[in-house]
Amino acid sequence: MSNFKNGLKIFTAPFNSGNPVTVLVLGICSALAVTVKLQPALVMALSVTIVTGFSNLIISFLRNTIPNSIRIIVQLLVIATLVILVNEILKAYVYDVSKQLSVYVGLIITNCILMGRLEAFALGNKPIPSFIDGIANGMGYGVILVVVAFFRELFGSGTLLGIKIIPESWYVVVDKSTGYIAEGSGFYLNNGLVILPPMALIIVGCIIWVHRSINKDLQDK
Amino acid sequence: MEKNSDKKKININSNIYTIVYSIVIVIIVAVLLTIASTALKPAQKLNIKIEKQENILKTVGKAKDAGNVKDKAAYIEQEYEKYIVESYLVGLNGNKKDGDAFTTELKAELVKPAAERSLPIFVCQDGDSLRYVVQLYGKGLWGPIWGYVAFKSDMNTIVGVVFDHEGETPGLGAEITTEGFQTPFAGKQIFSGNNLTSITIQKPGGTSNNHTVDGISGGTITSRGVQTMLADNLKLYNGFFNKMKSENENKLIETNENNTSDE
Repeated sequence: MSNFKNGLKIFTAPFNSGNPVTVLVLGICSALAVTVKLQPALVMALSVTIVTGFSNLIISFLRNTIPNSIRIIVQLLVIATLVILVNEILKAYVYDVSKQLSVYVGLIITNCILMGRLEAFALGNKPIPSFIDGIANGMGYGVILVVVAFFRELFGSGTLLGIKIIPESWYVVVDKSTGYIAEGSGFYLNNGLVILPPMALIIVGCIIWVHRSINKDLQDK
Repeated sequence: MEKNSDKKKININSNIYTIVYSIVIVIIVAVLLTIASTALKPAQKLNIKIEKQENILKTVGKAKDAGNVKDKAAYIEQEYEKYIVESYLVGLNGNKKDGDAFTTELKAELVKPAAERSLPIFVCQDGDSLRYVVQLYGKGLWGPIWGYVAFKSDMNTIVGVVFDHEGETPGLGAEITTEGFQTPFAGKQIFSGNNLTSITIQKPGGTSNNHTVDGISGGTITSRGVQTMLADNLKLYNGFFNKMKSENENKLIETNENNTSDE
């Protein structure tokens, strides 16, 4: 039972006080890059979850054999191998998805969450808790990614998962012959700023703000 | 931890252990990746081939059901056999050259000296009329972009285009792959008189004419990349275009002469 409780604690931490993005502030770079649309964000979240889970598992199995002086390189090797495998498999069996993700799958290698969790957790814990920690951290990262992507796609493109959410009739139409807003047209325009990376940073900042006002333990004294 | 202490102790921080460890782990990873890569290569190659065939077919408005059929690969191959009647390579002067157009990499051709370049042409039979599909390759914001353009046999009017990219920003530059960007190309003309004007990608909302298409807001550099790619590549094909045009004119004159002699 205590094992189960422990596992549950490891699993839930990344969603609250140990969230990789909002608390540990890791993986911010990709949170800015892949959150313009919801779909790549979802697939990215899934890929990262798989890679964090299995790299944690493998490093935890190897943890007592890895020489201290080359441990970072070994970690990198394991992550890179997994990412290349994922990429090759995607290319062979789900070519369309792999094309959508393009360079981002390769960029999982550079995601700081992976190395962070390997250093902080997998090197000092048994395989199963490490695996849970990896999966949970990947999901904790994914949740933030999806929330950011939700706002960015909705306000930036007026769609969610490519489906139109904001009715076409709301949009302002410019009359090409006069250059003014056409009579009887709507009142709404997509916010171009939301599509650009700085806005993702502002949304992440807002999430951190909300998170810290709910969870008072996280506030700096 | 406890189990390890039973065994004979190895100093895992010694130099020899570190070197052996790194060699072993690298070999294991190398073997693993080689096996994966070799095993998956045929499937990946097939995907790439099918994608290319699909892109060529899409420019002429064929293979529309590709998303709905079960065996996409077989469907595309069958459609390709059906519609693409001929494919060949041409030089800058427009004369045919030896070689297989489908396997020719335009990217590799573009770095060759101008005289040695071979440009692929795919000829599509659509009902009674022939369509000529040419290939494009250029630079976007983050990496290469490429595409195919189909022309009517006047070598001037665009039937359709397909663009693709390696790593443009999703939601911005990557929108060049969407129908919203590609459909307006149909019916546009690349010649004004005898001059090759290509297509100008302009800021959305401006006045448009026969040679302009709206770009993507927020994807300015990629849009500009498409424009440059079109201008640069179509210039290379100009020899072929002119040759075809003069052939068309000759045919026209011949038919006219025949007509007059009949009367």
